[in-house]
Amino acid sequence: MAEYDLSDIKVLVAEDYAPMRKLLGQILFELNVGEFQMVASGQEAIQFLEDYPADLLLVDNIMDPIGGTDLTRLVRAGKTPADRHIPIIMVSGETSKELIIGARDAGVNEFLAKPISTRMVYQRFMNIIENPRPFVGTDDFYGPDRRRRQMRFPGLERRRAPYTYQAQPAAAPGTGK
Amino acid sequence: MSKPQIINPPNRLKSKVSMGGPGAVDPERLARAEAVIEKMTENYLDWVEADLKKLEVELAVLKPGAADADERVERMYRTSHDIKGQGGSFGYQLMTEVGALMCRYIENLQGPLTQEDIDLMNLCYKSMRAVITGRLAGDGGEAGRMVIDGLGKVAAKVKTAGGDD
Repeated sequence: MAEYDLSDIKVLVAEDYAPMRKLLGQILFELNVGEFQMVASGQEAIQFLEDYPADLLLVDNIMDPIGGTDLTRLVRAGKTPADRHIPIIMVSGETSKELIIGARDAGVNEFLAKPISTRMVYQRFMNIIENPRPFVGTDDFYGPDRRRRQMRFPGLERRRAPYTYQAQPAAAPGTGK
Repeated sequence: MSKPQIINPPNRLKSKVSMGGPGAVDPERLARAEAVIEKMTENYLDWVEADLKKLEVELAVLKPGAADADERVERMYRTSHDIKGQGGSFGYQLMTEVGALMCRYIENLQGPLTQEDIDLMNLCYKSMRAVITGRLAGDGGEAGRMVIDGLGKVAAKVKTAGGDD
């Protein structure tokens, strides 16, 4: 595993659910991410980006007003203050094939299925750092190349094997290796 | 249709990270982080209590054919969705399992809401309540299996509706 120092990067988290914001904030803090800010909707994210030069967006899918998929579409269309090419990781509890394909077609870089862990978040950061995809612009799409590698379908994998979560059993803290 | 354009944007993230050093994410830092997240489980029990209360409030007044039934079910969907999302993140995988089942059930509802629908959603709620009351973290062992087995009827209905794939 590559050991990156993330202390110079700025992350904007858009998540409407307070406990999940706390969890994501704690994970970013533990990963020594330089700076992160939290907003509760896609609309707030757009406003916040006016003055916040984020290097990466971590967005929930279901938010009101403006969910993660729509926010991604707006960013890729250049309709927000963010760089059109900013890496976007979507965090979602919903993992239907339609949703993941919808997110990919809106232009997200990485998909992170809840339940999440620190390792999973770091893995997505590493993918963006080490395997950047070129952007493709067509009449109806602007975003990371969808063909270069198979988008992972974490939720579908999980549903095929519903008891194989990676989280440590709470009864035996700190013993997992 | 115009020809697709290929753009290679600068890798801004890569240019802002360095390898190694005291601030880097090494295996020790990751292990520490996982331990801290595990400790947040204590707070999780308070948060999930608030969510369970929301489900309880909706279920208490939900009636078949009521004008506000759709609205209430939609709110219950969101809450179950939140429960599903956070459960496993805090070591309560059973909450994720049951939350997911409730979401699937609601997604596959067809036609007007029936008393059976309400009863089965109530069963999901009671199962979640049992998981939290019994502190059934992880797979919950024997008690966890009983919770999941008790939801067989809900799972069967979701399966019949084709919502389990």
